[in-house]
Amino acid sequence: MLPWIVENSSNLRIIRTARTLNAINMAAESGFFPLIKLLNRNPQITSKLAIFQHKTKHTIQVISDSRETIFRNYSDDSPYTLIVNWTPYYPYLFESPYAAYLIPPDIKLNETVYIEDLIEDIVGAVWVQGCAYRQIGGIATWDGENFNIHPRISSKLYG
Amino acid sequence: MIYFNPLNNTLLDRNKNVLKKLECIFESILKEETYKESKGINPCIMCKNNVINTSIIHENELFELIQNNPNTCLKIDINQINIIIDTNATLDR
Repeated sequence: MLPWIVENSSNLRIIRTARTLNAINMAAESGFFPLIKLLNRNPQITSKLAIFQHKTKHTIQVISDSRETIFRNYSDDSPYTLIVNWTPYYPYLFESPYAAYLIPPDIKLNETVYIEDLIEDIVGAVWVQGCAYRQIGGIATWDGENFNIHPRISSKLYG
Repeated sequence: MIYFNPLNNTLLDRNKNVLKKLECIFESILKEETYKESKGINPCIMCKNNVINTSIIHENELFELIQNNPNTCLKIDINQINIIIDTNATLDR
């Protein structure tokens, strides 16, 4: 796979994703086939938060990394008090419960593409503090009806 | 200290201002075996740009590099010790 991509990287087609009704219909009117998919939350994907509140100003600070409790000195004599202890949550918000890959009319069978905004909830990165995040984009191959996404789990990011 | 939001792959300064969004079409294939690193800087095998390893560079030097050239390519491991994860920063996809 890798040598092929290195050779053909300049020709790797980018597949866009539409996430709203208007965007999907505009793309369809422009000649793309919108491959509709429902969003399914992957329970493995999770973030975490803790909320501290200022004792007199009542403003809050939300943290995601447990080391921040040390860096920000949230001790008993701190002006902040813990009001929400560490809680896991699904951290992504999407405008619609559906989305569509915009398939160009000239896509070829077995064509390898780059999808810039994956609809599927695939774990892309795992953090040592017990959280996992979505794979944002990725390489995929068109089988004539769907994309076979090449999963990539890594804590390393480039760009 | 460098902050990083893995929800949208943005690097933030200590005041939570966005410094850079990490976007790389080749990220999926830039695995360790294809990224032979030397002294923290190495050309990408795909686009030939220099890639800076953020785990061994001082934050001030990194901020200066990005300010001078916003297209500087970076390598970040969300588990590296000089990265603080912040998923509460702006969620623009």
